[in-house]
Amino acid sequence: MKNISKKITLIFTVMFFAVMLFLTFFAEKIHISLLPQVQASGVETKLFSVTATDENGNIMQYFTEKTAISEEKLEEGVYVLYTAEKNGTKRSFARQIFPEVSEARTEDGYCEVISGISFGDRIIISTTKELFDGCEVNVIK
Amino acid sequence: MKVKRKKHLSWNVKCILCLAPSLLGTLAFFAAPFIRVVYYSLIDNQFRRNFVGFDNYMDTLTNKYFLLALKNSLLLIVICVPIVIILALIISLVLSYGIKWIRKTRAAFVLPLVIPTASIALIWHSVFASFDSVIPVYLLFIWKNTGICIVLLTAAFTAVDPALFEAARLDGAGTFTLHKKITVPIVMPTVFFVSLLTIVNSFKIFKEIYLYYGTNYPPDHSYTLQYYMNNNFLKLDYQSLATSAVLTSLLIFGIVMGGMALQKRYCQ
Amino acid sequence: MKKLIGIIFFLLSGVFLLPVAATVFFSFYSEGGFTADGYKDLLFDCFVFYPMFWNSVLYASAITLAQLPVVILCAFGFTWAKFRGKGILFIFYIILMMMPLQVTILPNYIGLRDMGLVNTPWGIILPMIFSPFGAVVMHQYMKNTDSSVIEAARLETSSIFRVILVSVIPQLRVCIFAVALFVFAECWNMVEQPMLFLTDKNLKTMSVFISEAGSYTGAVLFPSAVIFLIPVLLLYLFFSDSLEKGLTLGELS
Repeated sequence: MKNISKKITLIFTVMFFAVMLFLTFFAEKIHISLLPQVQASGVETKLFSVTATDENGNIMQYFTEKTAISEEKLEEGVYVLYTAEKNGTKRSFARQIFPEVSEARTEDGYCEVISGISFGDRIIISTTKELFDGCEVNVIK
Repeated sequence: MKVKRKKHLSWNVKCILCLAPSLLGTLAFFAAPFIRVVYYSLIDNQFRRNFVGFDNYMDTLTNKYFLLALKNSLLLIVICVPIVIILALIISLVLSYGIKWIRKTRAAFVLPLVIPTASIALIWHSVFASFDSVIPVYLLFIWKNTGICIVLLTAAFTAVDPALFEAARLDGAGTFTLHKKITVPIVMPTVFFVSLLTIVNSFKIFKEIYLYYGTNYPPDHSYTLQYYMNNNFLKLDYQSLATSAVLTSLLIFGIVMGGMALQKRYCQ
Repeated sequence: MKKLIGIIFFLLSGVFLLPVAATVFFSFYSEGGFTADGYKDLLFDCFVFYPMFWNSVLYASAITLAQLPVVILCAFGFTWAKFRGKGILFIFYIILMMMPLQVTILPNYIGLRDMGLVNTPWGIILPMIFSPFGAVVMHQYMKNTDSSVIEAARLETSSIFRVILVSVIPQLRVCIFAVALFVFAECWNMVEQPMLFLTDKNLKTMSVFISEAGSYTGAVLFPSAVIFLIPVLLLYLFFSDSLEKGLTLGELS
């Protein structure tokens, strides 16, 4: 009886440490593989036509470069990448943004952004899983 | 003859040398630094290092936090240790009639002492969080230490040879004298050992309280000497720390000496 | 009568086991019902946990294994060496053993700082190797050993290590396991030293993790407590019969 319980304890101990050892090396990889794999790129700028009147009353039309976001993206949901520390390690997260856009459109379907997106932001352009506000992501090149 | 004497001498020397590794380590890591602490307790500042004699001691002994801590620590010992021992005595007295049960459940009794404090403090905290008194800490200590006392004491009780009882009874001794003359002397050494163990553990109780409250500044009733010293360490107030360390050592020294004197006198 | 005693025994065991069982229970139960979310958060989301776990294992094992030879030698010396002042030396050890950690922490810290060992594993391991607890307990056990076996061994060889190895250790094997178990439990439980002596997060132990677990997201508190107590529990179960015999031998002190 004693021998059996000793053997069981030994087996359990070995299993426990084997599992811990496995997890020590692979837990992070497993965790990352379960995250949405995303690609991000910098904010795009497009040329928008602007109409203005000068002092003389003449109407001028010229093009300026402004931050732009595609209509598609606007409908899908705009997610911005940010890094934060969670449980002692640095991770990447996705924050959902609702940018204000003006009426102006370009030919390839881009809207002019008034506020909400700044130039240094990184926008998520593709993802393998559905995103939600504040979810953790893994950035792939 | 000469050869034998040589061997005898070198054997003793070898035995003494056995103590060397432990002694060296203890000296290096505990004794020498402790002397340094005594030195720190006698100077006024880490930088100026003026010898101020007993000024620090006067400061500490009148410091209200130190006195609070002292009161709490002593209270803990004076209340908890007897409770543990009496409880263990009563239970092991009752249980010494059931030898085979002891063997089966011995594991469960010693478990509390072996289980890491961190794990237990959590559940204790969630259960007792609403009690604003020092009782949960006492309970934790009692829970931890009674088990092993029971194990040791039941072992002592069952070691009493029934044959002795028979012989004494034949000589016409009553039950009371029986127990007094036979059981008590055999069990007494174990009682002392158990008391010593419990007192030692009662001084080491800082971990439990710290993990239970999760902060450096527990409620007043749980503020013990160890907290006082720990906080001074964190505040880099080495002088107060050193003084209180020396005072605590003297306190413990006194208790141990008292205990040993008691034991010597009783075990005559 | 015997039945009543049996019942009392089981009740008592239940009381002693209750907090442990409750910890395990609550690691699986939170708010809604039974989930393993706590474990998922801990094992797959909290990666600082793993170095701390292995640190605990490493430190406790290293200390225990290193302490055994030191302690056995020391106890042997205390039992069989004859010199003046032996009694005083032993009392010194007992007093040292009874000191709360805080008294020795400052001397320890300063000593380590001078040796340049602060914030290294050695700063934790080395002092604990020389903790007097093992020596005192081991000496109590050794007082009960059979001196004739030692005499016999002495006639065979003059190497004192051989003598100890052959005569004392087999007799006290059980006691050695008991002492090793308690030393391991004490080291596993260490909280003050890692917290105060180590600043590098990768060197800290799991006991520190649990005390800081409030700062981690997710219900990692109870699962970490459970995982923390598993190794000690396993060790204890493995050596429980040795522990029984060891403890009863010790009571003769």
